[in-house]
Amino acid sequence: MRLLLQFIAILAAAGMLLGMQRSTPGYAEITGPLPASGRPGETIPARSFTLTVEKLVLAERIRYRAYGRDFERSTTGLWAVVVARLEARPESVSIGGALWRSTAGFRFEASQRVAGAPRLLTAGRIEPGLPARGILVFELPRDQAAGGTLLVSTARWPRLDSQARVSFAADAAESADVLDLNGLANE
Amino acid sequence: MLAALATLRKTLFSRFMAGVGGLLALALATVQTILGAMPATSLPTVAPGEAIDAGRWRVAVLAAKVSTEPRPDGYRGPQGKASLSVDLDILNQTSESSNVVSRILTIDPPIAGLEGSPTFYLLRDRSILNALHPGLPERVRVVWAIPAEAVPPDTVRLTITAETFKPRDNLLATPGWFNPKTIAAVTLPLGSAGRGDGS
Repeated sequence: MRLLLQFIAILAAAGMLLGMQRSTPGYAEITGPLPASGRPGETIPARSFTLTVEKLVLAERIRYRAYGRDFERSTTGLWAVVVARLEARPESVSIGGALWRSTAGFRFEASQRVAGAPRLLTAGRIEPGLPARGILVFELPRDQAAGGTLLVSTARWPRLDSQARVSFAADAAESADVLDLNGLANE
Repeated sequence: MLAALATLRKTLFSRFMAGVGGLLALALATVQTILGAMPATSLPTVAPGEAIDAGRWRVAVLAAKVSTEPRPDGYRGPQGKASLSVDLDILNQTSESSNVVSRILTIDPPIAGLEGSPTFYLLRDRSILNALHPGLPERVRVVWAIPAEAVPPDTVRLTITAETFKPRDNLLATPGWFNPKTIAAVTLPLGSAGRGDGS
């Protein structure tokens, strides 16, 4: 009888430990990004910048001029171009992390295929007091293009730092066949 | 006297058991090391153009050739070198953009004079490959520099390395891809017979 009780106690303890282990968030979750959420059109304050998304355009192809040449880029999916305004405060920032999280949970980094395109927010630095209007360009499969969330942070993998999150409704996007990036985000 | 004997017996017994445990652990580790060092008995072979599930990638090796033509971006390669190029169709099967493609292909047996790490080109843009995004398949050309005077073999055998997904790694409990393992081999004809389409 005593042995049985001991056995049950050990089982109960093991079960409790397992439950505690499973319900504890991991280190990566505890030290993850601190979300600052909003909708397009709202000004979202993050720790070192504010972000205002103006519009989202889905395009079959994009065109831009860089390094003295004209480029036209195709894709098997769609190009998602976000026009946004960023203001650094209280110090200069550069945007190291720009991600598109689709409604299915896929995470797309900003495309490097448009390197050199005008007014990319991920290129260069934004100074305090000089808000910058610019673009973020993503490449998405067609079935992932409806809705989604834009994640913007200064670090590529923000740890205990804020991440601006802008969630788009499924019908929030304008669409275009060929989108010209030149002058798209001019003041 | 009796008590002392009993203590001695207990001590000896516990030392003996510790020794047995240690030996068992040693034997297990040795067996694991030997098993790990043994060559894979038979590597599955895939046909050129056949897509294979290689962990985070889905990859089909299409064609290989040796040529002195410029690379996709127009670069002619280092002086006195030709290029050995392999064309792939590749799809990122994970849920995140990634540029860690360099480890999937190994030339085995190695070709003499080949330079270590190849360059990956995205044929759609005719430029160096950056990240591959989930769900967006791309055609990629992998280019090694090879001495121009080297006589390439008739065929090239490539092995494909895959990693396995761990939802929580042992250090930071973050998801990731670990334990690279050779999973398949593909043999391609080389030279004029193996010229890939689209130069």
